[in-house]
Amino acid sequence: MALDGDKGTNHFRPIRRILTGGLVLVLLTMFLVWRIDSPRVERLRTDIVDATLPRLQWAMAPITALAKMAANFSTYSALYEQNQELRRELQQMRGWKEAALQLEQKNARLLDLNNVKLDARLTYITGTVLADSGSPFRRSVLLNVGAQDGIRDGWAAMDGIGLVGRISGVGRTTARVILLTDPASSIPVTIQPSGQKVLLSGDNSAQPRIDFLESAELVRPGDRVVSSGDGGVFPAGILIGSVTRAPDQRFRVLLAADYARLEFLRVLRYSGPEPISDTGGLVAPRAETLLTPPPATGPSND
Amino acid sequence: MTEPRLFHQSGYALAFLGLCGVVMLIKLLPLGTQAQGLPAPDLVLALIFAWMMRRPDLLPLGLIVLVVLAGDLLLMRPPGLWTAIVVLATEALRKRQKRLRTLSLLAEIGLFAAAMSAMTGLYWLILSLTFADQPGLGAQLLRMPVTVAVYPLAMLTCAGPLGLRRRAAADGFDRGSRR
Repeated sequence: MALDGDKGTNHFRPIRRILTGGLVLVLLTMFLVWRIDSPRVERLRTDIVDATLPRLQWAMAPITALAKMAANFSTYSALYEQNQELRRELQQMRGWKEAALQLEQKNARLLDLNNVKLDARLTYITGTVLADSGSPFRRSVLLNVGAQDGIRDGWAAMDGIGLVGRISGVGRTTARVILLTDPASSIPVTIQPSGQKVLLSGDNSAQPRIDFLESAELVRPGDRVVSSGDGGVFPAGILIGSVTRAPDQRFRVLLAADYARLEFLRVLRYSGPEPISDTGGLVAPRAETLLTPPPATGPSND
Repeated sequence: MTEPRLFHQSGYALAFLGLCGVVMLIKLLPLGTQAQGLPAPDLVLALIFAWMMRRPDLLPLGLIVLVVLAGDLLLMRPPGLWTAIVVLATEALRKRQKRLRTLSLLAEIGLFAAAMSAMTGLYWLILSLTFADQPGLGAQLLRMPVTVAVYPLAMLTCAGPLGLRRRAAADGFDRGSRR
């Protein structure tokens, strides 16, 4: 019997040690393979998640719903104040709405005058959040839409208001969204009135950092931050949030999306800007014809 | 191995798997999508340690590997590394199980804290050596006190409903049955 203490049964101990060593070796090899060929192992991981988590939905959905109800119940006490505040805000908003309508009409007139062609609106797929990353150092959520819904890596995911993250890892029925707050997330953005292009990189805090800011004096807290579309990964002009100043005097971004309640996310279909492959194929022959007078017209001049 | 004993052991194995499954499921619930200040405790590790200090014979290596590796894959950790470290740590405990029987509760918590710090340090070191993307050492070490704070909960779970207690240091039954 292997019931006893330190010694164990004497003839089993060496075998056990070899087995344990082999097991550790296998595990470390797995880690090394992941390190060397990350995409392949990550695809395996995506497949495993794809196979397990949607099946556990029956257990997870009720608990999630209960927890959310409890959270909502605790806010009932603050409901009255919130109501008052909302009324005040609504009044302000009416004023803004009036201004916006006038601006819209003005804008439409000006666009009409200029004959500007606008981008077709982006279409989107809406998915429900199944699970989050479960680790304290990773910020990602799992959506219930995947490759069979046509989701592709790199597409932007947003809630009703602002950008939430990007797709990274697509299974058949699930897709993982790396949130903007994840340490691995880094996207090009524009700070709006000054038009400065910076990188927004998450660092596991609620407000992502602004990196590579060229002239800090042009940026004020409250400036709008939108995606810039650099690199062709995201469509340009998606609202991300507004600039704030952290206690350590660095600029951070207060995200517009409501990260406390990520329930439904829209995944924007976007295939990148169309590449312009030829450099002025139309220009060259025309320049030639301008330089050398056509032979047909030459004799008629004489 | 008699049949009632096998039944007993598989019952405990199921209990362990069930507890770890519930813990992982709760972690995966999409509730904590907001980045908060304190990292969540590593309940699975606390449970494994508390169990290991009491009845290592009821927690075979295969179960530990199964649970921690599933955690690696589902919780987006680098697959395999943390499992390997946990296997090494639990085997070290298993080897010293006789000496651990006389450990006081406070010393047990201390041992857990030291072991978890060492494991986190090793994890960080290997990830740094392989240039893998990882959170800072400080943030990872912050997980240790949080987990130590919930460790008594794991001890209570093991000792209370599961009824896992240490065998007395000089257990006559063991010695007699060996030969």
